Amino acid sequence: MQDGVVRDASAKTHKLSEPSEWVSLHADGLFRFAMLRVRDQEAAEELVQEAMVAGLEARGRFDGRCSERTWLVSILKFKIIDHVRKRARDRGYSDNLGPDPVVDGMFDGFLHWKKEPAKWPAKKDDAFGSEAERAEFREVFSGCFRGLPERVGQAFWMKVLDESDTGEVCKVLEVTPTNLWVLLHRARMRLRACLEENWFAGEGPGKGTKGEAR
Amino acid sequence: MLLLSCKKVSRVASESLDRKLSGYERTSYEAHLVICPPCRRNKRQMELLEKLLRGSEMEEGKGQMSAEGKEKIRKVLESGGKG
Repeated sequence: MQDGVVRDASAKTHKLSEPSEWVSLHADGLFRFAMLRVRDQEAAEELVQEAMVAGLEARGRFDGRCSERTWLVSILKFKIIDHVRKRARDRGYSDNLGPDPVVDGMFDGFLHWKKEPAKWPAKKDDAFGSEAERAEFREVFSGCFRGLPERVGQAFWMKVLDESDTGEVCKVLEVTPTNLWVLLHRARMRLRACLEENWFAGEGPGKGTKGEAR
Repeated sequence: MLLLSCKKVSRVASESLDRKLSGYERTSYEAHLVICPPCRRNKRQMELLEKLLRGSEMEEGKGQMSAEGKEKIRKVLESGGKG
């Protein structure tokens, strides 16, 4: 999922390029990474700047075990979490989540499926075939992701996309673990339905792949 | 024990990706799955998505930083981080 950066976890031979090249190599990718999470152009640009400046100061400690992009992304993750933490504090989140009409609407009065999950044509489950296909998937995914309520989306990117620790996510979002699980359930249900419609079983590029159905 | 609703089962399917289920929970959950194909499918698809997305450095499909934003960062980096 990276532009022009070869990823090889086994080799400790990654080197950093000159910081003067970082903007042309990474600014757009890091910007898209931040945009998916903070949904605000100005904040995303500022966070990328903060991450690159922090990288400039920390580059002496780079150990070559991951690519430059992955290293910058890991710095950016910290900056984004910090940003969300500050905003959550300003806003005063409540732990009372309220109902989710979209997820509730997937079930009838007996709590059975109103519309059962459809069969998905078997796609390349483990890896996408080409960079073009990955880019298409990213676009469909981000469309679905933008449809999530803010805190539902935050729970999902922190816990699943970025694999943050449960305790930390709960602290940042000011929720109990039980309510974090509620948020993640909502995210997964909404994303599953949206990706089904727009990628796996819809008219999109996921359609028509032959093979065993899921 | 077999009276878990499909909605509740979808909740447990999601939580099984986040924590270890208790023995009692697991028994009633799995019993429901045996008799309920749509819940099985929902569970499989949630697991598939989890595999695709977990730790994926996912980003927006489109979008570029503004030229002004890039110029600003270039200047800051050139001055050694003091902007």
